[in-house]
Amino acid sequence: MIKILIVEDNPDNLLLLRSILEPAGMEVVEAHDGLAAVAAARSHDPDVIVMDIQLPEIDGLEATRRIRKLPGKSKIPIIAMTSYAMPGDRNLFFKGGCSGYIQKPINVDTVVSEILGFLE
Amino acid sequence: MQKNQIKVLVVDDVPQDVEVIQSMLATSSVNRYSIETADRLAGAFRTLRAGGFDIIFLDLFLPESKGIETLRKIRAKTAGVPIIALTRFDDEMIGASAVKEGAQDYLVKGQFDTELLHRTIQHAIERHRTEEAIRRKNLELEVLNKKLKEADRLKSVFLANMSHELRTPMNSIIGFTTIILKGMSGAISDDQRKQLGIVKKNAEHLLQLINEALDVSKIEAGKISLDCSTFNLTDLIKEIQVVFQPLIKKKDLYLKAETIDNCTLHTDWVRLRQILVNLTNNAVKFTNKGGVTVEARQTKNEDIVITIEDTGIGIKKEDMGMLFIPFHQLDMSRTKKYQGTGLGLHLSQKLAHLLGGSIKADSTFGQGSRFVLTIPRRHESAQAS
Repeated sequence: MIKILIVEDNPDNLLLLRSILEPAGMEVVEAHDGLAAVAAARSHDPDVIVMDIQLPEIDGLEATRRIRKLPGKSKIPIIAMTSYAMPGDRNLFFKGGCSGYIQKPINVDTVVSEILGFLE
Repeated sequence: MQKNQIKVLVVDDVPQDVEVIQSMLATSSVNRYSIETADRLAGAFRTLRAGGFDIIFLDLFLPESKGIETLRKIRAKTAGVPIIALTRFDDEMIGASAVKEGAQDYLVKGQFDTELLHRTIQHAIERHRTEEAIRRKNLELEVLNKKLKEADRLKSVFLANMSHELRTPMNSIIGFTTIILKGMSGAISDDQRKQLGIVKKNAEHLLQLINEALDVSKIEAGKISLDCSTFNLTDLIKEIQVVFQPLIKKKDLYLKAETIDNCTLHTDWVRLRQILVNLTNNAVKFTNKGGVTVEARQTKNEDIVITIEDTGIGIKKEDMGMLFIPFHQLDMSRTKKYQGTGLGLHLSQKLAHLLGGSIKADSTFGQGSRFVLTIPRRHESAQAS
């Protein structure tokens, strides 16, 4: 079973992702801010992380940077899932260590396969 | 004619030299001079504190300060008063240096007459006044420039925040609507499906409006950068056909495409696709019988011309001028039959300009419309590199 860590501070969007990913057979763990994300990446050892960017405490990019430094986490897929959609944002996320970028609003029909695509 | 009142300070330690200036100034027919004197810098500073001086004569060689230093010292304390340096006959070079260091002019002792003295004063005061005016204007411009830069930065921040804040709620609105519609949270009735379908359609319409409004703002703020690549025109046209096939089928129309074989473009795929989707969408939307033809051809001067022609309702002559103006969907009657953001054509035209081209339209009311997009086959930035 694929274990996915969702880092998201908005409870509505969190529930939305749960409602899509759990029926698709994924085990979902949550973190609601950047620091909790780093702790959860360590303690839950997920297969893939979906990372919101605008977060309390430290933002998604800083959290990504810290997770990448954890032992065994340099290659884990971290997918930025964010409403930031200005030109240049995408590059910023990739430069910041993200493996992928999914723009909100997400596409319910394709989001599962998009995430699975990063798990090759 | 009334004489101008001019307040003068003469800083010189040689009494004879001071007297020469004093007597020459007394004969002026144009100006009335009130003259103060000082034989040391300290005395000059004391006198200057009273303020209101129009001009300073400064002997560069005082007992306690020699040469250009003398000028620097007095300039440091009297930024606002023009200075005429006084030099000795055997040291004229220093006069030129003094002018470089901010003196308005210089006079060589024993080498000037009354006329030259008056003219030098007049010019010095006028030039100084002009310089001051320019300096003040420059300061104003600097402040203004700073404000503009800050406003520009705030606008960018505002755009980014606005984009983010509008998208965030759309995520759960569209997301949950889709989940319920798909039956993922239990069965729903046909009525509920229909109603929720309307919610979803409108939410997507709202999202499109947000995207287009932001695109327009981004273009206006110069925040859209092109991402050019090389691709085959036929691939893009084929994709447009695939995108519109379901809608074409549903409206029982035809969609014909005539393209150029093996024609490679170097431009921004996403933006060009956005324009073509927009124009084709309009064509399909306003056509109820017949269909749409997308035709591409290449001109002699390396331009690509893509024509999107429909057999739809057409556009009245008097409305043609309004086509590319934002929020002017032409049928503005209350029973608006055709949904749209009213931004599509405006945005498409702006994007076409960004790609180095433009869109032209012509139409026969009741018979159909034709939109012609012309863009360079290779975007300019690519040619330059």
